[in-house]
Amino acid sequence: MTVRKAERLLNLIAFLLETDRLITPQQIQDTVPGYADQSWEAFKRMFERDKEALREVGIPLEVAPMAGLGEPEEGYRIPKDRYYLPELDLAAEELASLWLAAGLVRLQDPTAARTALLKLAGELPPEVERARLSWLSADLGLAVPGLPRAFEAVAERRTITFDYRGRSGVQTRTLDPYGLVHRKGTWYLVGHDHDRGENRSFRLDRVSGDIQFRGKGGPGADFVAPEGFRPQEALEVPPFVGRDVGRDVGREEGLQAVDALVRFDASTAWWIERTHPWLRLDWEGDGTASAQVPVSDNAGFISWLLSLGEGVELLKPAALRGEVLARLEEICD
Amino acid sequence: MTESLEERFRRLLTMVPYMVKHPGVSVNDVRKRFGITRSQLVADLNLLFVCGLPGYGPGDLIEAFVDGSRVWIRLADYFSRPLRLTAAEGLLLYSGARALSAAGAGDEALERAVKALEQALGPDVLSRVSVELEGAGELATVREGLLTRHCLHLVYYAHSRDETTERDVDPWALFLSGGRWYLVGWCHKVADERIFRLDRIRSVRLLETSADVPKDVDLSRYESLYVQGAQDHPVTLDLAPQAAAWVAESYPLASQEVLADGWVRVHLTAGGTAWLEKLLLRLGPQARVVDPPDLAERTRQLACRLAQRYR
Repeated sequence: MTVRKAERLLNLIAFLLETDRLITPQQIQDTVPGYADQSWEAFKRMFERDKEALREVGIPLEVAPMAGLGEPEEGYRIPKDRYYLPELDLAAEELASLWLAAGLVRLQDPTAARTALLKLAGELPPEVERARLSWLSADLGLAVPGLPRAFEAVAERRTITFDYRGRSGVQTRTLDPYGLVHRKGTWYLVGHDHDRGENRSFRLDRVSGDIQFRGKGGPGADFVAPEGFRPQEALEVPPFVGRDVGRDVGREEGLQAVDALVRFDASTAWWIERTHPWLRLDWEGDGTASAQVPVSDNAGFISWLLSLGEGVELLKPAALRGEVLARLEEICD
Repeated sequence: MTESLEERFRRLLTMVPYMVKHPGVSVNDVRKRFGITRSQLVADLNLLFVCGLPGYGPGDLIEAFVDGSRVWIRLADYFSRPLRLTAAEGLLLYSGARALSAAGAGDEALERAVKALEQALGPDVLSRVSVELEGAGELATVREGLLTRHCLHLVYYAHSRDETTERDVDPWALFLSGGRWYLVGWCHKVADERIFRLDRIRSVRLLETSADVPKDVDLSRYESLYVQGAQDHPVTLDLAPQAAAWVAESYPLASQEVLADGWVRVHLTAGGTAWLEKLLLRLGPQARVVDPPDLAERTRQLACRLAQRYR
């Protein structure tokens, strides 16, 4: 069975790659060995599965409506310019640095780096393959399911749908994914959320099941991303910070930001400076520092404040200080 | 291990171009290069032999044959170049390259390689991907210690105990996890192996003393990030469902079980408990301490001290 499927797929790839025109499903059934003896219905099911198999291997399959007489029809092809790897001409030392880079990343599939480099270079000199940095390693969370698919959608500008575990349970979301961000070990998709009508971010580890492309995979992009969109800006500040800082991705609608004044003592300020690049600190001579935070979500802000323990104090406004006190009294009473 | 169809195709679409480009290449070369057995190669050639272009007669079908120790593939010009990088391969190489350069171990060759990668993945595709890795302030000195095998003097803030200490460390390795850098090494102060988070190293100085570095530091040992130390003790908390989901995403848990009332009992190990007090503070009524019992009391005291400031 598997041999026959492999044969059919290889013939399908060759057929769709060598043609410059669009091929109809009927022509595919008539031409490619393995389909011809199937009923039309059985062929269609088989072809769906085969298309999925091609997609999993990473083969770009293009679908487009065909102009012509009679019933509107769709045709398929594998565009050569998207199938083939461009000639890159990597020098040995460039190849070596990519090998080291791939070697840093701990992966479940140790052959992935080899395959990628063999593709890029055609060969891997043994001295390159032996090279390894014994003192360095990196876990970039690449094992999260859905990541390759998400990247594909971002690269090809495909509108996607997926099930997402949010605050109110699992919901199906539709997104124009503008970009992908790796922050603190978590991968986020950022883009335009069709259901909310605004820009949002989504953690990939909260996506359940497969990410689906909504379109069939026509030759063009499904959407146009805003000019100069920088994915990292969309995530620059935590969600409790008001609209007037950074971009408005991930913010709740219609919330007013309140300016809070926070002071960090010397044992905490140096660390805050390193880990909270979005905060502008005003330094005192004694190593303490203060900062203004535009707060749009009081609960989220208080939670962050309390997680910093005794190294921080909220100075203003009085009303928010009152809320902090109420939270503390819940615990100490 | 049997190869899946997907894996086989990935390999074939890289291996066939290699054989097309190198007519008469030795069977051993192909076997080693692509990590397959002779019988796998024979099965692949038998598959290619029955595939080709419509017509599927002589002249349309791929010619694939072994002659002695050499192998030829002909009439497969459309497979003379490899399939583009897959999304997973592209991300693997790109994020690896970003980590390498964030660690300060990149060079010009790496930059040129990333440019080539950009070309391979399509115009401005990589500008849509942001791999954020801190380049913590003290990384340069730590790296120098690692490369020159010199002892480091650290001023270190231990968040779990909420204290700042000074210690001499033989640096063994650097690793990145959860977007943060960690230094593994031998701590002379406690005469034991320790992990230090780079963003909590307040300052570091390179010492004259040379460092003892074991021959084979097995970095996979640190994969679960948290290496149990002698002073670690178990902690058990009951958490409201929402809080439990957040805690499970944010901290390494030993185990968790759902209770009858829908709350979740989580078990974890902690070296110190100062960080747990702050965690409990932020969770407020969404958390109950099961064990150790004095943790609840210490959290209460912390809350009272803080409340004083706000009265």
